[in-house]
Amino acid sequence: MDNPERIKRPQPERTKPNRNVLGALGQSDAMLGSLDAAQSPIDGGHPLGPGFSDPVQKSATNGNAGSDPFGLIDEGVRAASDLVDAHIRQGEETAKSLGKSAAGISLAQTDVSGLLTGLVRAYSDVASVWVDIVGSLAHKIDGTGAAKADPTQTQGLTSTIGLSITSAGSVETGIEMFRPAIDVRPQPLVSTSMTPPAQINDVAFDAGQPGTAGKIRVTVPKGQTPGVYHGLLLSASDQTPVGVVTLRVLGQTPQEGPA
Amino acid sequence: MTYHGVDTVSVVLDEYGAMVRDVMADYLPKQEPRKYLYDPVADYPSRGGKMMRPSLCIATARAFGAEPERAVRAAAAIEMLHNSLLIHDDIEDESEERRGKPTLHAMHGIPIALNAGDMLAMLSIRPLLENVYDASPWLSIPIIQDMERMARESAEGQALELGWRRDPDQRPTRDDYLIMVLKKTCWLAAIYPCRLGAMLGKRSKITNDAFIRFGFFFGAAFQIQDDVLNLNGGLTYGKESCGDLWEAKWTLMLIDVAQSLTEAERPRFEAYLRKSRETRTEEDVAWVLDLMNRIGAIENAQMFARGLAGAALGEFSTLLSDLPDSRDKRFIRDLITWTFRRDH
Repeated sequence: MDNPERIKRPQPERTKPNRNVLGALGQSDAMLGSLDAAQSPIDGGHPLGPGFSDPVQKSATNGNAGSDPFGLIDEGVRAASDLVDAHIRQGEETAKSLGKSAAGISLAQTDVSGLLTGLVRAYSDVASVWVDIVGSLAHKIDGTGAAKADPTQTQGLTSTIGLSITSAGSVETGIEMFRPAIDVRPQPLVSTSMTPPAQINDVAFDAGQPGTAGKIRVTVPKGQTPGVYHGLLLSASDQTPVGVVTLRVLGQTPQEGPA
Repeated sequence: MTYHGVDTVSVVLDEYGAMVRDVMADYLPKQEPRKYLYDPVADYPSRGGKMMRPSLCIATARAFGAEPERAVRAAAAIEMLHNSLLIHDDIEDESEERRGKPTLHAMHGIPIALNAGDMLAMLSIRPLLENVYDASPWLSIPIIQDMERMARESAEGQALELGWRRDPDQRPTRDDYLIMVLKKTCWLAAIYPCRLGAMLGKRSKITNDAFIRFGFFFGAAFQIQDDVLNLNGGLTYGKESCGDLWEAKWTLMLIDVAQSLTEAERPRFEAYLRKSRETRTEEDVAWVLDLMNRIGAIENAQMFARGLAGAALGEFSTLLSDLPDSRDKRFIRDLITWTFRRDH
């Protein structure tokens, strides 16, 4: 006699191995994004669109079962995943061999200084103005609006240098570091676009306190001839160039009056 | 059953494509010498095209918060470079049709086409350079450096493929093919547009490997489907039907065939590979196509492409999960599935 209260097992969630391609990489259909399900590309269909079915099921029913030359598609995708990871590693190794990032956007801070090019325009309508550009320059570099006031120092190497300009007129100035340096020796700023070449000699480097940014101080004399001036920054240790300061002395504006 | 994805993709491609065409027109000189330079330079860009690459760049930029105007110049640079590479590819592949018309070298001869391709590549730098003036120095240099990386990867990928054709004794494997596609196709088709868009949108640096996995899975799925369409396209496809078979271009399907040959078939296949495009016959092409159909190579390739698309969807979820829902975010996701619905 049958027992009317038979024990029933719950319906299993699945009855065969889950070899869905999304599962191959630890993903699930739910990973189609955080978008609302109603906005799914296909309402109720396969996540990859109409006409799509589980590749494993399909290969088992299309008359070519087992003819897939690449093995299970999941395995193929896994191999492809390994391949692209190797490509990424190779790219990083190439970057190291070239001395800089191949993609150029994940550089160590010390390398980043080589990309540091700031161009800041300082206006003045008073007789003399002292412009501290460190904050502005950092803001420019960060590019997000959040100023990076803190200097970047790695193993004692200065990779961010500020500029302090004292000028009676309008100037544009920028600084580019080729590589970090512990201490720098600025050269006079020279403009060769005029005859005879003009010079700005009052250029000095203030190393600042440990943990703070070094600073190049430039004083532009009153009446300095307008033009573009360049001055190398040399490493104090081996006198090799580590950066360059560029300064453009602009023409007078009506508000400034005669220099 | 409705297909929101199809609509989103079509609408966005049309909208962003029109924006990019307007900007491209500004960078294509309308001056002498027109007949032998600037008219051929403007030819491929005026033929239309899917505009997938620039649209992907703009959509990524917007998904990350940028105004489209900010990305459209960069997107135009991508499309111009893409068109310049198409001119060179068509010469190297000895292709006869592009987007339903004769290829540029078929119309003007190789020297003029080559020169026009060079000019278009150079012109593509201009919109990026102008972007540099607007961007912060922190951003502008990485953008240019990424373009250099993309150009290098693309040339390396093209070299791999040209080498296989130059040396018919080579037998590339599936992994060889995928590496070639990663370099030749994925960097320009997906990785660079996404990376560029993300940098413009975030206005800051991104990690060194960002979008490489997504771009690879998506780009490879796209390319494999492209290869399939080349066989099935007929008149609806932009290139001549079965052009890849006429060129004996190594695709997953041809690799599949090469690995499935019987001893009796092998000599004819070897002879097919060694022939030049001009000496291959319709019988040769039909025979290889028949081999592909017989072993299910086309279906296998499509299945593999779908697997890659699944992986791309997973990467999409990871990369963009923190971003708010938007039409652009949907577009990027739906582009993956659109790859399999398009007929060209």
